[in-house]
Amino acid sequence: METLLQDIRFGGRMLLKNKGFTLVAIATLALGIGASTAIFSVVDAVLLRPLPYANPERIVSFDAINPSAGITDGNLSAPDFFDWQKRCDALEHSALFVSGGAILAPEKSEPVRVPRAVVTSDFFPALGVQPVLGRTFRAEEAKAGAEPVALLGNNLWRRFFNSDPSVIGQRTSVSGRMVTVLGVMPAGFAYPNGDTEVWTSLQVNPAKEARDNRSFEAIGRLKPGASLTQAQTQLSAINAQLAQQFHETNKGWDVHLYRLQDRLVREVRPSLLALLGAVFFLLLIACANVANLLLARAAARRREIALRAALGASRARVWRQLLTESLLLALVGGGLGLLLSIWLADLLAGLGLTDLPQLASGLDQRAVLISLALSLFTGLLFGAAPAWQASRLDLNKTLNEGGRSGGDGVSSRRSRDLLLVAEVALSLVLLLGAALLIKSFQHLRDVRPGFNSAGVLTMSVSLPYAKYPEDAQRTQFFSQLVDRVRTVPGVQAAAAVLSLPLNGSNYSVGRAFVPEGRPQTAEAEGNANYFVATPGYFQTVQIPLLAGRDISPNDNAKSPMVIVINQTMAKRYFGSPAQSLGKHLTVWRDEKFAREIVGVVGDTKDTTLDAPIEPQMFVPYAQNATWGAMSLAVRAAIEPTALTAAVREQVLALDKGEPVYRVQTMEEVLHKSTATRRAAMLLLSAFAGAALLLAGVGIYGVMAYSVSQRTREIGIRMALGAQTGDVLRLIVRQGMLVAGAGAAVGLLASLFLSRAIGTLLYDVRAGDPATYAEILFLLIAVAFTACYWPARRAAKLNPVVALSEQ
Amino acid sequence: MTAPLIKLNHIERSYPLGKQQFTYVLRDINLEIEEGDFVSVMGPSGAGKSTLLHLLGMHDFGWTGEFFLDETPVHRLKPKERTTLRNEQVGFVFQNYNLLDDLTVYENLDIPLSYRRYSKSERTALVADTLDRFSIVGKKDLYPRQLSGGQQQLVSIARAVIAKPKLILADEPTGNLHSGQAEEIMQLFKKLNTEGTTIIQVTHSETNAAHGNRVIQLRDGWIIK
Ligand SMILES: Nc1ncnc2c1ncn2[C@@H]1O[C@H](COP(=O)(O)OP(=O)(O)O)[C@@H](O)[C@H]1O
Ligand SMILES: [Mg+2]
Repeated sequence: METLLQDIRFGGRMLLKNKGFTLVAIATLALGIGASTAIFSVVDAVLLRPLPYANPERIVSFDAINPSAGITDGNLSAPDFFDWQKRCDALEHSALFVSGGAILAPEKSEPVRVPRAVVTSDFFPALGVQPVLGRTFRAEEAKAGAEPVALLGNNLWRRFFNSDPSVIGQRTSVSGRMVTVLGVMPAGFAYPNGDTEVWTSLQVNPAKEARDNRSFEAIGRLKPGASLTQAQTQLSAINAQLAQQFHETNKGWDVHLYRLQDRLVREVRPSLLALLGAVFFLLLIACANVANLLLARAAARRREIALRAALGASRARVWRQLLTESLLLALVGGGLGLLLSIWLADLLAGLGLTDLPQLASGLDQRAVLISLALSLFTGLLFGAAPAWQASRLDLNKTLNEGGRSGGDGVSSRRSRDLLLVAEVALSLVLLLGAALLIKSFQHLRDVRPGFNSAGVLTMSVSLPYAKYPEDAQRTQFFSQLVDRVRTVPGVQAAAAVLSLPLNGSNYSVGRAFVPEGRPQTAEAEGNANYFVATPGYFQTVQIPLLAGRDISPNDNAKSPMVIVINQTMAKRYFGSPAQSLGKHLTVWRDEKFAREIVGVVGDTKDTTLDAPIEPQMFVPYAQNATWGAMSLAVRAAIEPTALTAAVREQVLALDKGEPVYRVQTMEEVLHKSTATRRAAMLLLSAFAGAALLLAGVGIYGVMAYSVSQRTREIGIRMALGAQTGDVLRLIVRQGMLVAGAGAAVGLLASLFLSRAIGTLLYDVRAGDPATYAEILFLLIAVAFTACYWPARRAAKLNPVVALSEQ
Repeated sequence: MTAPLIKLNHIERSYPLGKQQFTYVLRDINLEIEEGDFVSVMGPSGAGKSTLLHLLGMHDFGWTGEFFLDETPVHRLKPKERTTLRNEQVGFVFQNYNLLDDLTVYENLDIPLSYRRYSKSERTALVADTLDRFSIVGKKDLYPRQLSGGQQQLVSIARAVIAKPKLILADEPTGNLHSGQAEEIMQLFKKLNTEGTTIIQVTHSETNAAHGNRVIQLRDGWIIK
C-alpha cells in the first residue's frame, strides 16, 4: 500500500513535469473514452438492457409474412390470431391490439388527442405489467357489447386527473364514448407506441371478423421453459393448416415470431452496431497514440528506469511503476471523457438516431461504470507496451551509454511503427465507412420522392365513429373542411388523404386487387398501397397527373365507381398509363364491385426514400368514407407553419371537439424519414474525422520524435552532401512507408469490414472503388502533411549544431 | 601562376551573446591555401579551429568577408549553390568518426555517392574500388560498433574521399585514437596528399603536424602565424 502510494505520487509528478505530453495524452484519451462511453450507453440502453417488464426475454411479437407477396412485417387478422391462441401451447398469454389515437375531453379542459392502444385482456399479463391503481381488463370486457373500460397512463393521470386516486370507477369521455376508468399504469409504461397514454378494451367477435382483414398487431408471452423456436414451429404448422382450410385468404401467409426487444430495435440495430464498432476503433486509435507517446517518453527515461533496476527494483516493480503512471493518465482522461460523454449523449438524443423511448434516459451510473472500465482497459492497453519494453532493458548497456540520446532501441522504434500502422489502418476503415455512408446519404437525398414537399403543411384529424357513425357524415365533414381551408388567406390548395407519403401519417394501408378479366382468386390478385383522397390531393402535393383525370367533386357514392392508380401499377398490370384508362379492377374482398381506372399519376415514395416504388391506388373519399382518421395537406403561398393556427381554427369551427394532431410540414416528414441515416452518417463522419485527426497527430508525433532522435544522423548526412530535398525525402519516406503499410492493412480490413455496414448503404457498393480511391488519397495527403512538418524541421537543421549535439 | 585553392579575405565570425552583444570567434582572417597543401590548424581549445573548418566546409554561413574556393566567390553563392559546390569539392572527417550506426561499412561509404550524381553501377564500382584501396573489403558488411576506433576512422576517411573531393577537412581526426593508430591515419593522409588532395586538419599534436607542409596557429580567433 505504502509503495503503491509512492508510485502514484511519483507518477503524478512525472505527468506534471511533462505538461505538453500529459495534455496531448489526456485530450486524446478523453476524446476516445468520451465518444465510446456516449455510444456505448446508447447501445446499452437500446440493445443490451432488458425491457422493463417481468421476464422480458419471454415476451414475443408477431409479424405476418407472405414471402411470395414480398410482405415481411405485415399485420395480422383476428381469426388467425385466435386460432393460434387456442392451438399453440408454447404461449401462456397472447393479446391482439390496434394502436391509434383517442380524443380525451376531461372536464374543464380542451379536448386533446392522445396516443391510444386498443387491446385484448391478455395484453398486460403478456407484458407482465401491473397497474399502480385499480386493475387491468378481464376477458369478459373484451366481448362485443361489454361496458367500455379504459386504463390511464401515469402521466396522463397526473396531467388531467391531478393524480386523484378516486378516478378509478369514474366515467370519462374517450373519443366520444363514455368509458369507465379501471386503473392507472405505472410511470414509464407506454407500450406499444412509446408514448401511449390510454388503453381501451378491444372488443372483437372472431366469428364476424374476416381472415383477410389483416389490421391487428399482437404480442405474447412464452410459457416458462418454452423456446421461441418451439412457438415458431407450432405457429407455422398451424398456419400451414389454415392455408389449406382457408385457401382464399391464407395461402402463402405465415407469421414470424420475434423477441419483443429484437423487434423493437430492428431498425436501429445495424446503425448502432456500426457506430459501436467505429467508436471502438476510435478508442483503439487513441490508445495507439498514447502508447506511442509513452514509448517515446520511455525511451527518454531509459536511464531513470535502468537506474531504478540497478538500485534493486524488480521487473514487477518497474511494470507497476509504469502501469501506475499510465492508469493515472487513463483515469484523468476517462474523467474528462465522462464529462464529454454527458455532452455527447445530449447531442445524440437530439440527433434523432432513434425515437425509441429508451434513449431519452441519457447517461446513468452504468455509463460511469462503462467509462471507468474503458479507462482501466485503455490504461492497461497503452501502458503495457512501454512497460514491457522497459522491463527488458539491458542494464549494463543502458547505464554505460552515458548521456547519449541517440541510443533509442530498434525494438522500441519497431513498436512505434507497428502502432502507427495499426492506427492508420483503423482510420482508413473508419474513413471508408463514413465515406460510404455519406455517399449513400447523398444518393438518398437525390432520390425524387415524387411530390413537392416545399410549402406543404400537414396535420391529422380523426373523427370518432361514435360521433360520426355514417359515411355520409364523414364525407361531408372533410368536404366542408377542405373547402373552408381553401378560403384561408395564404392557402393555395388543400385536400385530405388517408395517408401521406413517406410515412407522414404514421401508417399505410395495403389492399389486394384483381384486374379485370382475371378470376377473383388469391393467385390472380395483386397488392397495392391503398389511399382514399378528396379531390385536389394530387395538385396539393404536386403529384403529376400522367393520363386521364384527377378525382373530381362529382365522384360520389352514387356516381360510377372510379379509381386512380400510379405509373408503376399501370405499367405492371395494364401495359402503360394510357392503356390503363377505361380498364377496371376490383379492390377485392373489401368491395364486391369493379372500379374504372380514370387517371394515372406519377409514382411517390410511400414509406422511405430507399424503398422501391410499389403499386398505389387512390379512391375518392366520397366513394369509401369508412376511414375516420385522415390527414390534411395544405399548400401554402407563405411559410407553411404560419398557417397552422388558421387551419386548426377551421377544424374547430366545424367541430370544436376535434383536436388536430401530428402537425408538421412535409419538409419535416422528408427530414424525419432520413433521420436515422443522417444521424448515423453524421456520427460516423465525426468519429472518422476524429480518427483522421488522431492518426495525423500520431504520425506527426512519431515523426517529430524520430527527427529529434536522428538529429546527429541528419547532421552527418548533410555534412556528407545531403541537400534539403534529400533530408526531406529521407524523413517523409520513413513516415510514408509506415502510413503506406497502414493503408494497405486498412484496405484489406475494409474489404471485409465494409460488408458490416452493407444494410446501411444506399445505391453505393460496399467495395465502391471510387470511394476507396478518394479515401486513400485523403489519408495519404494527411499522412504526408503530418510527415512534412517534422521533415522540414529536419531539413532546416544547421549541420554544425546538429553535429555538435551529443 | 595559378590562383590559390582557397582565399579568405577579412573573414569575421561572431555569435550573439545577448542583447546587442557579440562574441567574436574568428577575427579578420586572411588566408591563402594552395592546391596540394597539407595544412595543420593548431591552437588551444576554443580558439576557433572547428569554426574555421566548418566555414571552409560550407556548413556555416553566418560569417562576413570574402571566401574564394577555386576562384568561385562563395560569399556570393546562394545556399543551394554552396551545397552543390561543397559536394563537388569537399570531403569531411570528424574526430568521433560520425559513421551511421545502423548502416554497414558498405552502406556508409555509399552515402556521399547517393547524394551526388552517380549511376547505380558507378556507385557499386566506386564503393568496391574504395573498399579495395583502403583494404577493408573484408569489413564491408560489418556495423561500425563491430570495428575498432582506428578502423572506424579509416572507414570515415574512405567515406570522405570516395566522391573524389579536391579538399579534405579533418577536425581532430586522431583525437580519439592511440598513437599507433594515429600514425597510420597520418600516413594515409600523406598518401592522399601526394596523390593530389589538399588536406586541412585540426590537430593538437606536433607529431601529426609534422606530416604536413604548413601550420596555422589560431588564438582567440586570430591567426597568429
Ligand atoms: N553556436 C555557438 N554559439 C556561441 N558560441 C559558439 C558557438 N559555437 C562555437 N562557439 C564558441 O566559439 C569559440 C570557438 O569554438 P570552436 O571553433 O569550437 O573552438 P575549437 O574548435 O578551436 O576548440 C568557442 O569559444 C565556442 O564557445
Ligand atoms: Mg574543435
